[in-house]
Order: sequence, then structure tokens, then C-alpha cells
Amino acid sequence: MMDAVAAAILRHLQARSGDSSSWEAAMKAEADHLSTPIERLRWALGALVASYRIRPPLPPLGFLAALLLAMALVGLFNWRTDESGIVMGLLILGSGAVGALRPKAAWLTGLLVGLVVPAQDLFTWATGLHPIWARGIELARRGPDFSLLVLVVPSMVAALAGALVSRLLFRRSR
Amino acid sequence: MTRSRAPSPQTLRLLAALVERPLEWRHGYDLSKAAGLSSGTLYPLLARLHERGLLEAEWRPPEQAGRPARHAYRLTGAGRELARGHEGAAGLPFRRRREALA
Repeated sequence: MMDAVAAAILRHLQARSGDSSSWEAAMKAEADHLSTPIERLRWALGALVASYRIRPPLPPLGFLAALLLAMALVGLFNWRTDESGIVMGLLILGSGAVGALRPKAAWLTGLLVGLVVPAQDLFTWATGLHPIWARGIELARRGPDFSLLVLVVPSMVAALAGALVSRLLFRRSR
Repeated sequence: MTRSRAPSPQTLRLLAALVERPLEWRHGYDLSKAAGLSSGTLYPLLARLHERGLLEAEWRPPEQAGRPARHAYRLTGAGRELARGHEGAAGLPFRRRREALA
């Protein structure tokens, strides 16, 4: 039973590495030299953790995709609904999740996701195109609302909190 | 600009284990036992030391026929220097070594 679990974990590592010279391959090869099933299982479990510590789950392109998705969701909901609670919730969840996926770029995540709503307001002011929820409503003519820039603060805090949680869970060894 | 951070206690334990037999190629399991680290902690440290040019790593043929090749490790010159530089701040393995030499 223990050997079967260890073997399944090691197969997963092999599939994850896709490269016979990788650290995953090194850990798997070492497991084949251990004598007892309990040692192999403990080794395989550690190797699984190590694999995710050595190679974070999100490559740069994945980060870019996740960041664009978070920005698109915030932008979409801000365009379609005037429920500021939903937009704020999405902004915090999106920034937190992407910050956790790529802790190194948490500041960039916080900044870009937080700028979506002010950017949309600027767009509305510049083009005269109103969000879907505001169509048919007589809105007073006004300049761009720079106070919306304050949204960068909760977005940044959420992204940094996500990064902190991620670092605590999958901290890179020094 | 690169940040230089003080090595963690786990890194110091690994360096201590490696510097005990500095010229010998060591295997992961052996190092894990010598440094008292699980594979989950050991391999990210090995990867980091290797990335920083402090550790050599290579595949070596097995000692017993029919077994797969093993990945082996030893400190580079820079790694040995770093290990010796931290000898005073290191933990148990260094103390044990000194006691053994006394």
C-alpha cells in the first residue's frame, strides 16, 4: 500500500518534470535506492513538496494570463453592474489570488488590478461611452474621478497578503 | 542588483554536512540523514546552492548493478569557502565535528 502511494507520487513527479536531468528525476532516482516502503513513502512525499518549491506552479505566461483574467473580470463587472460591493470583492479576490500565484510580482498585480476601475472612468470621460448600467440614466457631466485611484490601496494590500500566504506555504529555501 | 541574505539554519546544516567530506560526491539520502533534513527541504536547498554556483551536481553510475543512476553533489570551491565562513555560526553538525576532533 505504502509502496503503491509512493510509486503514484513518483510517477506524478516524472510527469511534472518531463526532463530526465531535472531535480524531480534526481529525487525519483534516489527513492529507488531506499530499502523500506516507509522510507520511500516519506521520501516521495517530501519530493512532491520540494518539486513545487523548486519550480513554482505558475510560469511567466501563466501569470500574465491570470493577471489579465483578474483585470478583465473586475473591468467586466464594473462595466455591467453598479454594485460596488461586487466590484470591490472581485478586485480583492483577483489581486489576492494572482498575488499568491506570483508573489514576486505582487506589487505589479496590486497596481494593475487596482487601476482598472479608474482607467474605465477615464475612458468614459474621454469617449462619452457610459457603462451598461448607466445607459439611459442622465448623468451629470463631470471630469475624471481621480479619487477612484484609492482603489489601488485595497488591491495592493490584497495582492501582498496573497503573496505572504503563498510564501508561507511554499517558501523558497534560502 | 542581487540581494545577499544570511543562510537559513537549514542551509547551514546542509553546508556543514557537505563540508564534512568536502571532496566526496554525496547522494541525497545520505545528505538528508547527515543534515537531518527531509527531502522536501533538502532538494530546494540543493537546487538553490547549485543555482548560485556553490554546489556541483552530476549523475553518477550506481554502486550496485541493476539500480538506476543517482544524482550526486559536492561543494565547489566557493561553496567550501562559504561553508567555512559560516562555521562559527553553524549548528549541531559543526559542533559535533569539533567534539569528534577534540
